Formats: sequence, C-alpha cells, structure tokens
Amino acid sequence: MNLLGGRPWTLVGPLSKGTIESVILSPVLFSRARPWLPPLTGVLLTLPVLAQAGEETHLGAWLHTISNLEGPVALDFTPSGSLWVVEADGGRLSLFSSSGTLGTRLESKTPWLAPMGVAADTRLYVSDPARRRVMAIGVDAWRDADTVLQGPEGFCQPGALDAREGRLVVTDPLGGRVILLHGSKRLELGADLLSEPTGACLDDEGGIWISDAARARVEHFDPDGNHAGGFGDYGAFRGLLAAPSGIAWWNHRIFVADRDNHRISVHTEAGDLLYTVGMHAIWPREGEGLLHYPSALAVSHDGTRMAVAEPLDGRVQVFSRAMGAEPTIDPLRRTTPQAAAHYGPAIRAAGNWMLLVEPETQSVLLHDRRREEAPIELTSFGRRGHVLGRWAHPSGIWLDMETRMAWITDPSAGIMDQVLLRIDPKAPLNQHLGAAAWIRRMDLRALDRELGGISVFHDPRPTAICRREDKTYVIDEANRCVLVIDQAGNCIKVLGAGVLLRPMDLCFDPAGTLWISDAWQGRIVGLDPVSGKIRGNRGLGALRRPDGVCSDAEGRLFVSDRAANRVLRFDSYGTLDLSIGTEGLGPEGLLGPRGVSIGQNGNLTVVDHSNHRCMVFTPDGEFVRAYGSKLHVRPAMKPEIYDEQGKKR
Amino acid sequence: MSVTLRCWLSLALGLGIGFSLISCGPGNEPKEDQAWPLELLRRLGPLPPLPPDPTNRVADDPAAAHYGQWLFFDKRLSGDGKISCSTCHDPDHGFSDSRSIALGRGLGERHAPTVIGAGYQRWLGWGGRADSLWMQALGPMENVVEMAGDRDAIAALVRQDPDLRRAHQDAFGELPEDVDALFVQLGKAIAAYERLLIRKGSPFDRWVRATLDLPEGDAEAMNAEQLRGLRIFLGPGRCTLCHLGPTFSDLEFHNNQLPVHADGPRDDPGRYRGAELVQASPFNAAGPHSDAPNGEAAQRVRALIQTSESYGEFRTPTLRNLARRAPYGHQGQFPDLSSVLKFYNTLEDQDVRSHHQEQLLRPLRLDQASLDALEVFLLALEGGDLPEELTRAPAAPFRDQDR
Amino acid sequence: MRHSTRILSACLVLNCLWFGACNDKQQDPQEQHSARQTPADEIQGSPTLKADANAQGFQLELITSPHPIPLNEDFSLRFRLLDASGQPLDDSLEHIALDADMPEHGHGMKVAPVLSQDEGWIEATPLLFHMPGIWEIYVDHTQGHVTERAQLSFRVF
Repeated sequence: MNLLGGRPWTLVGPLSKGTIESVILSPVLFSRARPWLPPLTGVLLTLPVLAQAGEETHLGAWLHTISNLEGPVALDFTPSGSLWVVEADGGRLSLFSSSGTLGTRLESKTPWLAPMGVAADTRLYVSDPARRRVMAIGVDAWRDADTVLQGPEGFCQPGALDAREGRLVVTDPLGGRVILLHGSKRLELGADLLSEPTGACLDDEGGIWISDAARARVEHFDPDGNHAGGFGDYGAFRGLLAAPSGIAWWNHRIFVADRDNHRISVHTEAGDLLYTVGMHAIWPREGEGLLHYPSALAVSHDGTRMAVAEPLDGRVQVFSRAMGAEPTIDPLRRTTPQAAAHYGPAIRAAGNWMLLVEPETQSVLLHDRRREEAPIELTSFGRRGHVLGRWAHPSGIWLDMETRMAWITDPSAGIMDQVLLRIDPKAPLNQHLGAAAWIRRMDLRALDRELGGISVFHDPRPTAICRREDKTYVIDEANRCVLVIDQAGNCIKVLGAGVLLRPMDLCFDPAGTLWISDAWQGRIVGLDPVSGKIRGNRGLGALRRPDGVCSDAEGRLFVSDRAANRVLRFDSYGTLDLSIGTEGLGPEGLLGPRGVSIGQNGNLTVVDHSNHRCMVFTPDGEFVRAYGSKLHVRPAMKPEIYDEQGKKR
Repeated sequence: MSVTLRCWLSLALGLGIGFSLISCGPGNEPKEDQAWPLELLRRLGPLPPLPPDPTNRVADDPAAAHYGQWLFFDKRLSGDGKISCSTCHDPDHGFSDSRSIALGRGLGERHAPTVIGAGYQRWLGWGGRADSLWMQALGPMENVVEMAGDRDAIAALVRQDPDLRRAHQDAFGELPEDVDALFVQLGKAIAAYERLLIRKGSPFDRWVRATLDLPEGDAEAMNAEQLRGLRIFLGPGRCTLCHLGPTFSDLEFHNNQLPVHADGPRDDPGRYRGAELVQASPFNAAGPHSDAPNGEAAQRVRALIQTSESYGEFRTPTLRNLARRAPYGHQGQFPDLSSVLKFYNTLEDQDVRSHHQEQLLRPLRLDQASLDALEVFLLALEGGDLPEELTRAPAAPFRDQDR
Repeated sequence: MRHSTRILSACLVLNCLWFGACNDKQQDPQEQHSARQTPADEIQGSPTLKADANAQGFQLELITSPHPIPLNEDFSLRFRLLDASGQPLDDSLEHIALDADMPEHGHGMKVAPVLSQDEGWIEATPLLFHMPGIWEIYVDHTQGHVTERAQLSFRVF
C-alpha cells in the first residue's frame, strides 16, 4: 500500500516547513564534528554483510535532523521507509521521505482536532484525543476514513498507537490502560497494572510492549492480553528509566524513549540494558545526537533507522546503524555538568514567595523574590514515591501566604496534597532545608462519581489548581472539567463539563470570574464559579495552544501560548492589547512558554519551559530579567545572536 | 516562640549540626583548649568487643576458626586451583590487595575491601550483597572473575580429602549430604576465622580510654598534631556524618560521587543491586541455612527497602588500619590518603550524574595544614599487629589438640 | 556495647525550625508536639510522646523502645491513634502508614518497618536511624479519601 499517494490528502508544498538540517556525507566532515563517533560512510551499505558475519552493530548513530516542526509527539515508519510525524501543536500529519524531505502534509481539521498518535500499517491510524477516538484512513480518500474506536465509555482518551498485520494497539494514558483491537476482538490490557501508558508497540509474534511513564516501567503482554512480565525502575543512572514515553520493538530489541533522562535506552526482551543513545542536550538547541525530552520513537521496518521526536525542540532526529555494540561516549561529556534545574511548567506566586515545580527531581521549589536580581531558593520539598510526601509527577501548585500553605496535585496518582511551609516570610534570607510539613492528602479517585450531580466517567487527573474563599478549584484533565472542593475535601460542584476540551490552567480575575485556558479550543473561557455559566471568551482566533493563565489587579488576563511562543494580554473588556515575546533566546525570546504569574510588584513571570528559565516582564511587556540555568539566562541578559538552530553566530 | 524553645534550637544546632557545617577557614579553626565532645568520642572508641553472630553457631568456635583459616588460604577451592581468598585479601596488604580493581580469575569491578574488622560490619561487600560474614565468603568461591569454583567440586574435595574431612567433622560433626548445607558450613568456618582478624590498641583507642576515664588508657598516646587532626575530623571535616561508630563507619551506604576509575565500570549499581541480591539469596540471615532465621539480622534483611535511590551507593569503609591497604575507594580510585582528602576538600572530578546523590556533600575547603593533620590522625587508628600465626595458612586444616 | 550506646543515643527535639509569628490559622506541627509532650506519662520506662495530627483529625501517642532513640541501632515503636474524644481509633492497619525521614538530607530509612496490632496499640519494627541529625517520624491515617499526618521530630546523635 502506498501511503504517499492519494489526491484527497491536503497537500502542502515540499520543504515548506520541515527542512532537513544536515546530512552527514563525508567521513572527514563527520570525524571533525564528532571525532569519537565511528564514521558512517559505508555502514549502511555494508551492514547486512557485517550482520551476517556476526559483527555487532547498534542503532544510534546520528544521521540527520528534521527541524522546524510544530510539537512532534508521535511518528511511525511506513513499510517503504517514509516517516509519518504527528505535529500536535500544528494539528497536522507530515510525511517525510527517508532522506528527510517533506512529501505530504495533512492539515485538515475536519477529521481530527488534536492528533496525538499515528500508526502506519495497511491503513493509517490516527488518534484524536480531543474527540476521544481513533480513526483509520484509507489510501484513496477521506471518505474511506472511519472511526475504529470511540470514547468516552471505552476509554478516556487515546494517545499512542501501533499497528501490525491487522492488530491495532491504542494507549489510553489518562485512563491507565491499553486497548488491543484485532478484527472484531477487543481486549483491554493492564487496567489494574498500568498508570500512565504513553507508548505501545507490537512485536512480530503479536505481543504488546507498553511504556508506563508514571511507573517508569516497560510492561509486556502476550497476544491474548495476559501480562507476561516487564522491567524498569525509576532513576537517572544507566538501566533506569524516568518517564519512559515512547517505545518500539525491532528484532527482539526494545527501544525506549526515556524522556526525563534525555536518552534512548535499548534493552533485550528480558530487560537487560544493551546500550543507550544520546545524552542530555544542555546548551540551547544542542542536537546531532544530543537529546532533549525525547517523547516518542519509531524504528524502520528494516531496522536501519530510528526516528526520535522531541516536541519541545520541534524536531525529529534520525539515527542509523553503526558498527560496535554501542555508541561511543563523548569523552568531553562523560561526566555532565551539574544538571540545571528545569522549571515548570506550573508557577504560582504570592507575596514575596514563588512556587515552581522541578520535574527532574519530582520536587517543588519555594523561592523568595525580595532580591531583585534573582530569586533565592528557600526550600524544596517532595520527591519521587507514592507515600505521603512523595509524588509520581507533581503538576498543579498553589500558594497561600497568609497561612503559608502550599497545595500540590499529582495527576498520575489522582491526589492533592496540602503542605505547611514552616518559614517566616519576613525572616532574613536563608535556606530552610526540611521546612515542609504535610498536612493531608486527598485521593480524588476515591470521590463519589456523581460529582455535583454530574456523572464522572474517569478517574480524575488533577493537573492545575487555584483557590478562592476556602474553596479549591481543580482542573480535571481526564473529565475535562473543574472540580470545586470544599475545606472538608468534598467535591461540591463540577464546572465546565461539556464546555471544556483540554483545560490547562485557571485563575480568578478581581471580579470573581474563573478563567480557564483550553488548549484544544484555542481560547480562554470565563465561568461563573457558582452557576457555572459562561461569562466570556478570550483569544479565539488569536491563541493556538493557550497554556498558563493569570490575572492582574486590574483584571487584565495574561495567557501563554506555547505553540506561538508568546504571551498575550487581554484587557478587562476582553480586547487583545499586547503580545509579549517571540521565539528565541534573547531578552524577548520564549520557547514553549507555560506557567504565568503576576508578582507583588505587578511584574509578569513566565516559565520559559523549553529554554529552562523564567522570564520577568513588566505588565507592559518590557523585559526585566531572566533567571534559571546560566546557559539559558545569559542570552537574555546579554543579548547574543543565534541562528535558527540556536547556534551562536 | 518562647525563649526556652530558642535555647533548645541553639543547643541542638550547637551539638549536632553546628559541628558539621562550620567551614575551617581562618578564624574558626577548632581550638586546642576546647573541651572534647565526649558523647561523640564514646561513639568512636575504644574498639568494643565483637558483636555476636547468632546466624552462625560456630562463629566463635576455635576449631571452626582454625579450619576456616586453612580454607582461607586453600587454593583448591578455586576453579583452576590457583586462587584463594588470600589472593585478594592478602595479609601483607592489610587483608586487601594493592590493586585498584581486584584481580582474581578475571578483572573484577571493585577494589578488594579489607577483611580486618569485617566482623563488625552489618552488611558485607561494597554493595552489601551479604548480611553475614559467612554469606559473604560463599560468593567469591563461585564468582567467575574471583575464584571461579563450584560448590559441587568443593564439596567433593572436602569429602575426598581426609584432612579436610577430619577438620570439617571437628567443627560441624558429620558431613551433611546436602551440597548447599556443606557449602554453607565452609562459609561459616571461614567467617569464624575472619572474626579473629581484629587489631586493637590503636593510639586513638588508648588515648580515648584515658579521655573517657576507662582503664588501660594513655593520655599521651596521640601527639598534638594527631589531636588537631581529631578535632578537624569531629568538626569542620564533617567526617562523622558517615564515619561514626567504633569502626569509624556507620555501616551503611552513601553515594559520594567518587570519580570513576579507568579500569572500573562507569555504572555500578552498588547498594541498589546489593539490596536485591541479599534479599533474594537463600543464604541470608532469614534463610534456611541461618542459625537464627528470626533474629535481628533476619528481621533487618526482610525489612530492607529496595529502591533505585540507592543506585551508586557504597558502604562506608572503616577508617581503622588504613596504612597498609592503599589504594582507597570502592574502585581503588585514590592511590593514597592525601588524594582521598583532596577529593572531599575540593570535590574535583566528582561524578555527578543524578539528582539522588548525597545532598550534604560540598567541598570542605580546609587548608593544607588541616588536611595534613587529618591524615596524621587517621594513621593513629592503626591497631596493634595481628598475631603472626593468623596471617598465614596453618600447618593442617585441623588443630593438633583435636587429633 | 549495645547498652552503652543506647545510653548515649538520642534526644527528642522540642524545637521547631521556624521562629516566626504563631498567630496563623495553622499552627506549626512541631510546636503542637512540643506543647503536648508529657514526659512524666511513662510506659515501661519510656515516655509517651503525643502529637496532634497536622490537620487535627486525630491524636498520636507514641513510645520508642528504647528511649532515647539510638543512633544506627535497630529500635521499635508502639503507637496508637485517638479520636477527638480521646478514644482509640479502631482501624485496620491498611489505613495506617508509618515512615521516617531526614528532611534536611532528602532521604529516609533504609528499612521498611513491619506493623502489627497488639491490644489497641500498633507495633512497628524494625526502625533504624543510620545517620546523626534531625529525623521526623510520620504516622499517616487514611479515612475515606483523606489521609492525615501526625509527626514527631527527633535529633539523633
């Protein structure tokens, strides 16, 4: 089947967006660039011979990079070696040739609203979590498209896919399970085992391999859906996994996109580590085999290429085979510098204090902002685990200065914690190790499923939080609503059900309207917190993927748009009156901005997530300062000129 | 906040955290006329009697120890007949060896730790893969890069060799039919011998006896430089965060980001793997071969937490009897004591690769004179020599009086 | 050796890490503990330490054995939870968790104590505080969908 052909596809001109960054052609050039890596020339040609001769090869030599993509979250090779890439932020699918040239681009919003997974078999399968369905698309026309799976009863929302010889596996990361479709058969896997299955693949015997990001595990199921083992444990060292997000199987090897470890790890089916590919890209936009939050991967059918998607950097890196059992480690990067704190995505400020999540350590950081030049970290609390005081993945945060309380949600575990910060906000600046005392934890999954008169289908996933007048407003990503929780921990109301598609963040304006950013609808929705009625909309047509939202004392709304790399300001009448930031690293530069927060002095802090820093602007958008990793702060404080790949000119 | 509570905090900080956090820059060096922290000194010495090992009923049996001493030096226990326990635990090198990475039948992955004072340990091996001396002794015999033997061949040797058989019967009675049971008894005999390898009466022990008003003390046993080193050890050196206890070790595991030796593995799971191995082994304190399967050690190994937070953690080594057992570190990374101290002073070449390493580790920034004093003090932990007859193979596997 | 080191072992920290104003709605948990400690109330030679849960949903009574807690030696605990009227909570072990941590170090114990019930008290063994410094013992109780924590702070040296 030729998935390249077919008139009804929406065709976009070749090389219009996706461009190939460079291709290694010469062993001399290559050895100059990366002298510790083996030359590639001739490897592909001689590979079959080497393999026959019993020589070891590995799949992990950087070949080329497809850049300028809009949030690539999934990819799959066709049998002929072309590569389908889902660009989630662009709402489109792109097909690249084996040399990285853009061939076809499907941009119609008709069949899907927010594509998230792709699998190329005899048909092309695309998951659309916004509409809670998986579509199969024929080769000839959209009219061949049909829905092969539809929620919400069957699953929460579909994510990654894989298809092989008529079998289709669909992950449901928010629902904590995986569905296997084979003809008329439908099997549900791992409902009692999996927590956040973000990747799935099929082996040539029909077995299913699942990467479970929250549990840092790979699980194996036999063709009948029985659990057949697994491997993995959380950690940063080789052989351990941190948020394994994508998975591929080839010739009894398991390839795992180990997202938070910034590497690919290759295992035997028994789980033994064979080798790792890539290491943390530290300098802005570092590539050529260095990785930054790799979220999905695919291996070509002949096993000669591996494609790795890095959504935060908008690129796909393609690797080929090389001789040797594993890639040679760059001796200069053998010991990496102290890993910089990666902020975000959430941020909340109150008084002098500011709360941030540090994803690599699964902890929450409390900063004091009395020093103008840079906030001081007062304490950090929480770490990886399941008992009180530990989290799988802290996400939503809230801070109250009057009571010195912090609230933290963990969507993977469905919990919300309340923590007392035993620090005097007026005391001289100092570090306060161990200052957090846990007050209580609420398990939102144990709530009554008839919440406020509305039936809730799925286990709540609390991703963001804000508080007002002793009530807690929690975004439930799974049920696409806002849960209102009283002081006793009871859910007393559900807001936004049927209105919201992908609620990301929420805040109150001074008039008491609850504003919720909705990434998939590209708007901010204002709700009456009592009646739940819509009071207003902001940003339709202007926002692409709105994320963080906050309000200042004048009722102006600031909304980050992570796909457009900017923050928009709406005045209290709803008029868009300011755009802050452009893509880049300079003083106005943003890349994937997420959380936003207004401080005591009215300044706006933006979590510049992909740049690993926070940016501070005046309410009128003037750059004040940046802080975070020096490497990323320096270009903002001392503007330097970078090219589009982030290389200093 | 009441004044009382403030005072409590001051007291707590002064006693505990304060001594370990003060840096030793000019002006805050430990003062020579300061009173000694007696509570802390009591935790360090003098070397107390060896704790019993209820999991080994012959732990303190002389016949078993004599037999174990023979086995310790007997190369026939190895696969090729060329390696014994003493190959890597050489009496001439402080019952360690002079190599960074141990070399048995093949190149190992870690430095050979000393056996002297091993009877005080809670866990054996750098990663703590054993919870008793006898369990530890079984591992190298079958490890392919150590002695590369196998228990069936070893059991056959004991059954066939009349001297070994006689010695075995003297220590344990009739030989058991079960190979595992016989194999375990060999480990228990070797453990009984190793428990005798204790060097008492170090200058520090004699000095601390006098300071604590205990008998057999000698207030002059340590000179002024050694005493200055002791004050740094107790204070700005922050050494007692881990090196606390009569063996100058907390007996537990830490990831101190030591540099990787060129011959050693870059990724060594350390305690992460050790905890898994000891808990899964039938030879642990809770297993069927233990003589106290419900004792304290058994409870502890059952309750052991297996978590990847312990990846890269290694057991705190004893600081007693350092002089003859260079190099130092779990991969023998440091050729001498001064390079160990230099590492903790500067943290140069530290191996930072995760977010789960020891949070309290930071450069000590001591001056050279302080480092020199610290090194001189560490050498004051050298105990008296072992009896010569314990440092070589005995004339026969059984004792004369047992004939 | 064991006896002597026990004598030398631990002392309960009655202070708190924060010196700020105490008129907030939520009191500092460790201050609550210090206020409620009643060393005179002894069982088998060890004082019964008391603490309100951090959200005041229950009270904790706890006895360490031995007391004070020894550094780097196994010890055990007996504890029970009381409701607002001072009556022991009759709850199954699956709703109760015990843990300990060194908050300044960012790590906890290397052993997970086993809990067992005995005439209204819960016994936890073994525990081991292997490093000197401040340790916190946590007792968590789950009722419905809410888990509350009570904690006590110790300095062990």
